[in-house]
Amino acid sequence: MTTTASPYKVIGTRPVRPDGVDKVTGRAIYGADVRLPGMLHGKVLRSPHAHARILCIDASAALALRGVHAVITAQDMPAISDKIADLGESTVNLRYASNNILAHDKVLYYGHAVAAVAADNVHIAEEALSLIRVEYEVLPHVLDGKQAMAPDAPILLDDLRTNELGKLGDRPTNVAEHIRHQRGDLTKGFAEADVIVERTFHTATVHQGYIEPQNATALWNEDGQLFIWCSTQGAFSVQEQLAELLQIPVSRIIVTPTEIGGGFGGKINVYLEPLAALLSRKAGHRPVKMVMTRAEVLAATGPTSGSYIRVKMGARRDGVITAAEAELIYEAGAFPGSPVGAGCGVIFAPYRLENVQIDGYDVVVNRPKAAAYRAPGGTNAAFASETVVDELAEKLGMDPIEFRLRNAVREGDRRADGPEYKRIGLIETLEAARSHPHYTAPLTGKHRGRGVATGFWFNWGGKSSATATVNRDGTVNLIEGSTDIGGSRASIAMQLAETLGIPYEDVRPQVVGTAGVGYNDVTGGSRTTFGTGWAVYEVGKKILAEMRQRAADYWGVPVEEVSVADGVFAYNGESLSFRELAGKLDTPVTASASVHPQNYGPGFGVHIVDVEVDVETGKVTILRYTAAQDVGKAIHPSYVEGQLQGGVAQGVGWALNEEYVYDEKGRLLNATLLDYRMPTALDLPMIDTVLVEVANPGHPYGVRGVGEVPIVPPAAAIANAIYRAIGVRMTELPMSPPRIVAALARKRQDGVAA
Amino acid sequence: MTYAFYHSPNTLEEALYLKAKYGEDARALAGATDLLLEIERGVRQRPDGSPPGVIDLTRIPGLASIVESNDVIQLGPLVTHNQCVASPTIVEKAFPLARACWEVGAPQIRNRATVVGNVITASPANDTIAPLLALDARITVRSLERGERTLPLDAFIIGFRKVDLAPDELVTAISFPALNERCDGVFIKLGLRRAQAISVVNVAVVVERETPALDAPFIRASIALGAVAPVVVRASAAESFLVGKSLDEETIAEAARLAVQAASPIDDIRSSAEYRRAMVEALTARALRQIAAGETRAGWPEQPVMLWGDTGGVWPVTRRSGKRSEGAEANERMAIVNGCSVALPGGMTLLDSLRAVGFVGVKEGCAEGECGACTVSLDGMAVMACMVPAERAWGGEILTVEGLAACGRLHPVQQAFIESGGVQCG
Repeated sequence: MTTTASPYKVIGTRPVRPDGVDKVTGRAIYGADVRLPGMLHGKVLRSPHAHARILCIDASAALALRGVHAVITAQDMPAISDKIADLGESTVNLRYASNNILAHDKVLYYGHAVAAVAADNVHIAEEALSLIRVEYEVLPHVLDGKQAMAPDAPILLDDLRTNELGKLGDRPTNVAEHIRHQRGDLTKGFAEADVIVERTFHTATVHQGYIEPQNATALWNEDGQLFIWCSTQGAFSVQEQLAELLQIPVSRIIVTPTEIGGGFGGKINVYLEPLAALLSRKAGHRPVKMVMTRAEVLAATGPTSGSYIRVKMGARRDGVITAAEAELIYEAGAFPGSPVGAGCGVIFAPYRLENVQIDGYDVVVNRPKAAAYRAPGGTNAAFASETVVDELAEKLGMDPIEFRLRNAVREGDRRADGPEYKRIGLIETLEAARSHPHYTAPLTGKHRGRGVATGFWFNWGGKSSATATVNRDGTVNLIEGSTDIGGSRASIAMQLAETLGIPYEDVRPQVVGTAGVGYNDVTGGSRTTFGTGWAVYEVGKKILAEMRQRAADYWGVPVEEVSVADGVFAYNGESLSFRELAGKLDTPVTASASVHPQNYGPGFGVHIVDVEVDVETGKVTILRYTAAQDVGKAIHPSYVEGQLQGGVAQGVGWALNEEYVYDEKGRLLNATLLDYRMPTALDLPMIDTVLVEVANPGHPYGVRGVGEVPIVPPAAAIANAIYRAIGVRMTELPMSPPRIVAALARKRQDGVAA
Repeated sequence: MTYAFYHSPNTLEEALYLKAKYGEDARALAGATDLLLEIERGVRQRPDGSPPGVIDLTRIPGLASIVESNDVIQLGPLVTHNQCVASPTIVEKAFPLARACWEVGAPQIRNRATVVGNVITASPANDTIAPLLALDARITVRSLERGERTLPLDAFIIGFRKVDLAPDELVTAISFPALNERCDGVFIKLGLRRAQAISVVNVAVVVERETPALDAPFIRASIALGAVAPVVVRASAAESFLVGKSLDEETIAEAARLAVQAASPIDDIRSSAEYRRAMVEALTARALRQIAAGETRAGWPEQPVMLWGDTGGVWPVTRRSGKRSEGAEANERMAIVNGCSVALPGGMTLLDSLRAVGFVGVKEGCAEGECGACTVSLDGMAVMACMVPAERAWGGEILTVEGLAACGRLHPVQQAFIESGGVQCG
């Protein structure tokens, strides 16, 4: 970690989090723990087919079952016309979103919701589901993005036309969009290259794997007021989605977020909330709780896209990249909206490129609709480009970090997708990695290798609001609306304490729902410590200004004559601490601020990993892992380190083991945590972190988002390490034991053939 | 779907009577780690398709011992995986079984899951079957009407997830010869992660040499292969090839090649048949190399993590509280939860029961024993509450996360979680 004399008293320290005790004692209330008087329990009937037309639904037997209070189908959903809604990390066409909540005329993936039931208890609700008769006409399905692009592929959405570089096509298709970023002259660039590498990569569908399944409790009152309790990354986003999907005013919906057991992007879209609401209304305005099983979570929420990515890059002998070309095909799932746009932004983001072209395709397939997953689309893209970059460095006989340094972007460079970089810390991070003891430590032993990779994420600002009140004892109540998924209660309270010049312990933060605070965007896009931090900085400034006025009134002097520093108000040799002044306040001091900061400052990471490959079984063991990242300013270093470690842990699972496995009928076979295999603590080494602090000039304390960058490099870094260990370039995720064994067998055959 | 009824006999005779009475309408239940899930998923049904009742054997005394006499080791039907891991007898004289038990699931599962249950489920991927087969284990079953019979394990398992057990019978013992100083044995599991993994392939090898010397020729070799056929199989061609030989690289390679002949693997979600065949060869060779080098115990933990406190791993057969003889139904349902007397509803998992009465700190993350979010201490041992019938906890003592802090002080682990940000999510 870089250390310099800190100008801060609170920022950069490591206090305990405000929600720690509640969580370790089991007292924290999560969505599944909500109980209301007269509460009913809801369950969802899901499609057993990957693609089928719904001919008819007969729910009469279910309705007749004792203890059943309501059954709903798509007929109960209001008709919605095309409208694009911004969900923070992704956008969605609301008509499709409605169709995803309950299938309208066709089911488009195994697990697609078809009907929902509210009953006295879960068992009755499940029995009722078994009594609902649905007649399907099974249609041919397509699971694979490339196959879905073929002219004779089964069409999922009859009305879908390709948005071809901004122009709408005229034929039915599964390609929702083709985007392109282009600059310079590719032909010229490749002609200048001394070495060219081109490879095609494939990555599997993977899920966020949060420990807490989706849940929602709804009470739709007789007066039209709708109350929602749920596990979400953004209460206001739930409110807005419900207003659109149910066609009711935003003000009629009060969303109270419960504690959240992980989201990683997957708890932004609504799934159960509209169903619980409609069931509540239909069941005579009784509260309805719905909780997904793990199988439902895996089959029917939003994983992230599987993808095909072709990358071609060329470089001169002196190490300068002369041209880069990429084609990304992302599987959106059943409805348009894969993160291919983000993938196109990430893929060459670390490199200065004169000649570049990136083509992205958003393709619908009979899989669940993709949702955001930590740096959506980024891991896929970096797996491809960072493997090719590694190979270029190898072919040029250059150290892979040195090669990246020669081409690294800096302030003033433009990304291929347009934006110009302001102050960024890629070079500092590459240098920190190069000088880390891990990078130069000897790595001996058979079938061991060391790989590096970089990663980029845009980060985001978004809209935040916060309110704070000064108590008479000098402590401060902070009301915020950002779901705390990574320790943000602490990191936000610390920024307010720093601004006010008071101890962290004197600020008591609370996360509240839509009824308790101004608008907040979702906790996503690595924005909360940045954006909500900005909000509380403004709140703090307002409080200080008001307190200064009160001090001036107390001394009977003009406000300009009162100085404020480190939480002390002074005038002419007299002084009042923040606490003393608070005790003298007759009228309370409360301040609110709403912000929409723009200069969020992207982040870069550089990862180093040592692996050992068991060449007989193909198993890859991670021996050592170091993640360096430009974090702007680490408000709470422990939680920043935790974000880096968590991103790596998920990245390792994505790289080595995780994938959706379907049978020939398009049914998901591994919708269990036994066979959707995330790594356990035993599968990971201690993950070392290096926090590089290149302050973001767009934030009063220099904050950059940190949560997403660390999942971008791992798959590529591990692939590069595997190559150094066994001489095989892995181009498919996950790099599971059977694939490693197969790749080694191919290498032996090629060796024999050569 | 949940079990239709629950009985908890106090003697083997009572259990056999119940089995005879209910036949296919009831399943015997011990650790419940397979059975509750199978009932929930509708895999284990009565002939009419409805869920069966269960007869919980774990209140019957004397069924959880590991006994060695006359060089034969006998496991009672309630011996758990963790008991085998901790048993000096098993570790010294049936090491492949100890290793296999250690490789199963997580400590919470190993505290509940029994070896007999693992055998009766008879999945070819179940880890204890290969070592037991290599150890020439025999199964003893009993019924009220026909008494006892004993048969070799390979005769007991008659097909994919099928065993030769009549509806009125219970398995009462597994027995196998203890390995002597001329013997060695090894078990290797290929799972796709280090805990909570199902075997993609597993191999158990047991050998007997003419003398204890490492290079002495074999007079017997047993090789059992798991997850490569509908049932766990013996690699007989490789076994006979090894007799009379001592191990060198060539012999090992040939034996490994021959072992593949016994495998008839399929493609499934965990692996392809081709990969499995290759792994049979690789793991058999690896096992034989470990035997040749005398390194069969490499990596065996000196102090395996049991999560069973000071219980010794044996479940109490008597109720610690709320004696059944006190009669009233409410009394029967009482358990001590976090020091307080609580009536726990039955007919559901302990997870659902605890949550129903307000202990919502116990969470459901997967309801299949994978995630550990429902872990509680039951009678001093860590268990996954999603795999325990609530009735088993009646009269027991339970500690949930809500009760970890004692006398106003957080447990050191709780404190450490807070201090190091361990409650972070994302």
